[in-house]
Amino acid sequence: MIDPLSVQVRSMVINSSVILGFISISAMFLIWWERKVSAHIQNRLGPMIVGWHGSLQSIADTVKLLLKENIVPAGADKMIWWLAPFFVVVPSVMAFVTIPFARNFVVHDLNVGILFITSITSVCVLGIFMAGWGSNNKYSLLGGMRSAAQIISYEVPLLLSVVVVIMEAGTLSMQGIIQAQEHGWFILKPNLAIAFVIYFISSTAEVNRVPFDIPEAESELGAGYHTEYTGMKFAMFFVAEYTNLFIVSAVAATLFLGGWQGPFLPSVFWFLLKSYGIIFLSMWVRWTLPRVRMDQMMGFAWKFLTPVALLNLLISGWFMLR
Amino acid sequence: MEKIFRKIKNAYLGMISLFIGMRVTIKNYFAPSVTLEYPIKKKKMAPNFRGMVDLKPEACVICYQCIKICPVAALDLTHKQMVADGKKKNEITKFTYNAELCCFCGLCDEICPTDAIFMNKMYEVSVYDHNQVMNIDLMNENKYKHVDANYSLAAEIKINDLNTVGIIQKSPVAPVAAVAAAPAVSAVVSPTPAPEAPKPTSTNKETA
Amino acid sequence: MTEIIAKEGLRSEELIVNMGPQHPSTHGVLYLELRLDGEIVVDCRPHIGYLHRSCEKIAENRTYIQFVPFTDRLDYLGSMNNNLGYVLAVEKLLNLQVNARVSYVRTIIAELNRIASHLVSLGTFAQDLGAYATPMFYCFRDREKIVELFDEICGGRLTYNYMRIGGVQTELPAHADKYIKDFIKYERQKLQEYNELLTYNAIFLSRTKKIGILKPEVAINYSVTGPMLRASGVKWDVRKDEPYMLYDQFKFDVPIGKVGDSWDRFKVRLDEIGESLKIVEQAIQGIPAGNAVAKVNKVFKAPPSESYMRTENPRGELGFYLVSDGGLKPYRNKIRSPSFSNLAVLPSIVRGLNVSDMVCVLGSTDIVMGEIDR
Repeated sequence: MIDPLSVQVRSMVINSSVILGFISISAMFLIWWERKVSAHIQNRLGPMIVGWHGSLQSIADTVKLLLKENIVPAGADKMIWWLAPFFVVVPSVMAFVTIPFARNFVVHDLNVGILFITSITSVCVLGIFMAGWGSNNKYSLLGGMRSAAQIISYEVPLLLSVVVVIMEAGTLSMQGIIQAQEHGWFILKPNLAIAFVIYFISSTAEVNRVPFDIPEAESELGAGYHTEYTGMKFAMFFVAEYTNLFIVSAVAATLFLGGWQGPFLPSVFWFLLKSYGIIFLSMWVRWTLPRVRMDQMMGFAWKFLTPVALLNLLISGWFMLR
Repeated sequence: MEKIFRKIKNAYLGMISLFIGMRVTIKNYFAPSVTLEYPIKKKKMAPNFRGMVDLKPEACVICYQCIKICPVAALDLTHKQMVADGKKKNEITKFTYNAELCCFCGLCDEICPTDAIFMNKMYEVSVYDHNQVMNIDLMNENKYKHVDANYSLAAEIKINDLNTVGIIQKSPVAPVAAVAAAPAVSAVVSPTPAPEAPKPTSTNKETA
Repeated sequence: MTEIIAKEGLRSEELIVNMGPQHPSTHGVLYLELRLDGEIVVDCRPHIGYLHRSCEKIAENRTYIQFVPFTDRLDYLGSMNNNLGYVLAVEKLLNLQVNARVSYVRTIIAELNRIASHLVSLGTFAQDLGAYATPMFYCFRDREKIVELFDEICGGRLTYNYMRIGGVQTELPAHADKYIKDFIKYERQKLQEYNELLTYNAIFLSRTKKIGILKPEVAINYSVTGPMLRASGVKWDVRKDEPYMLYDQFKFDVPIGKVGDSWDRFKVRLDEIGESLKIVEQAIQGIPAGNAVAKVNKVFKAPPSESYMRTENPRGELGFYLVSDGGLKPYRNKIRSPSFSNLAVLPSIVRGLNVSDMVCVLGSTDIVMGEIDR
């Protein structure tokens, strides 16, 4: 018995407002947490003064960014330059539609859930490219093009590893994938463990994090695609990066670690624990490894990850058919 | 075939090296931090620390050694002769210190025979007015009060008594294998022939 | 300045990019004029002089003891070694002998400073490669222990003014013995950690192996010295080949590399920290009692002669050429700085590399601009 339309719409509206609130708080929390994790790895303390152990530091930074002067670069393509932050933030927020936060809490469980997420996050590339082009700065353009090349190359192993999960679960819907893990998390199966590793590496490249952060690197010549953005526009790129990080970690938690499943405690708690656990893993990798060079990164994606992912897919398919 | 095996082995070893590196980082994650939360907690400087130049006016014998030794001419002293009780006495008229030129080498502290001029332990010395660092009047007891309200000359003199710079060990214990002590540093050294030739190269017992 | 034309003839699409003088990864104020073809460096021309302070001319107007604070500011990461080089040159000029304790104290301090300088070099090299500050913080945390000891001994943290003609400024404090022994144990553990974190890391290896290869003949022609020369396979260390002070009595190895790429330079510096720890250990065990302090009030006239003293700086061979005409102040004081020659070889080893690799090679040459410009 399907709920009447008004009830569905009402639940969607409530769920999406909760999620929008969650996104804003989560981005601020992630920025603070990244600084604390990096500080403890480096034997330091991180922010300590504003709030308890610096927890209000993100709010102070946001206020500071709001007060910054809005500089438009001369000769920039105004429309494209202005639109670029939107093209980066909006797809990230839209991807939250099908992420299952708890047993009964999902904005709308599309039956093509995972496909929707991967396709929507690909639109971010457009935003990065627009930022690079619209800045009228040859280094930003270089940075934008490199970033676009990187993201597009690493989508192939990403999708190949996700396909293995879909084959195992038999459905594209996110809640369906979680339900298929009732008898054991997917990561415990060997072919899916390899898929998890490939997924993790590719998603780190998707979000432009070390060791794949050439587009944002400071010690290279170009300072990246978001050089010419100040104030709130820069904050938008920043927020989009951390939101993307949360999305890929949440997807990893759902596909490989069983989503909101867990004993005793409410399911939303387990989901957040697993997502933030994978985010911690990503931060741990960031503060340990040096950066990979551009040509080595592309070589790694096409000559190593993609063949391994294809091989993994082939072998899992063969085992499934037997 | 062998090449493929070697590639797989290299890839495996590469992944393992990354994990080993990550283990180092996570061990340091749980190690205590080494930060001193300045300015809430401040560190006390060692007695030999070279801060700003300070003066005990009553101990100065106006020998001008510090002026002569200062490599950057940051000190300026003038005196005049006064007659008191029938005896001639020298008195300082002006003793200024230019902290902008000072290179904080501590040579004035070392050479002063009476330890009148010394280096105090101040390290927070920012001011708003440039003149306040260019002409510091060393005879004034409150010269650094505007920089640090807790400054007190008496406290700095007390810390300076623990200073060990330039102090020669009073009673060296005669060791088993010691070379004869160097001649006391003489003022003029007798002229020498050509400088001594370098010793022949020693045996190169090293490993790659 | 001669025009350097690329092998393929005059390219008209070359991009001339200015890297510096303010840039996050040139260590100091160095201005590199790069000619890029796409992303490949075709030519690189360093312009120096942004930190020139006429040190050698100043030396002609200062007495011998007044010049020691100026030597601090040459290679500001290895101040004690600069002080030592200058003081040894003056002692050679005066033909002055010092007692054994002075030499032991000077050795301990100079080798500790070598460790501190190499730690900075390793940390900043890793940061140039993109390991965002984590190895740098570890290196500086270790360096802090050395610098604190120096702070307690002589009062400075970066510029020490510690060596005197005929001795040193202050005696080692009573707790220095235990402190140094604890530090040696601690640092040996940390060297193991650096090997795990960086040296054999797959990404680090792929970034630094075969990058910036310096052939031994080229290195010798450009008079490169120090770890850069040793990484190319040439076994030349002033401490072993022309020993000064008491270095011929200490047992230590001279690490050399095989190929001369950036990884070899990194590894040689890391191994040199281990060797310096060995020297410090032997020195602190065998240090004789006696007096090491020399008072300052030396106003002497040096006899008219000249002397050249070479010592092993952390960056290479530091030389002081002193000419005296019989007065209070030297007639000429020429400083041969190792980083000057090490930088001169940079254009010939970066041709054909990416910009990222060029940054890596520049970090591995480990130059200090204070020494180059004086």
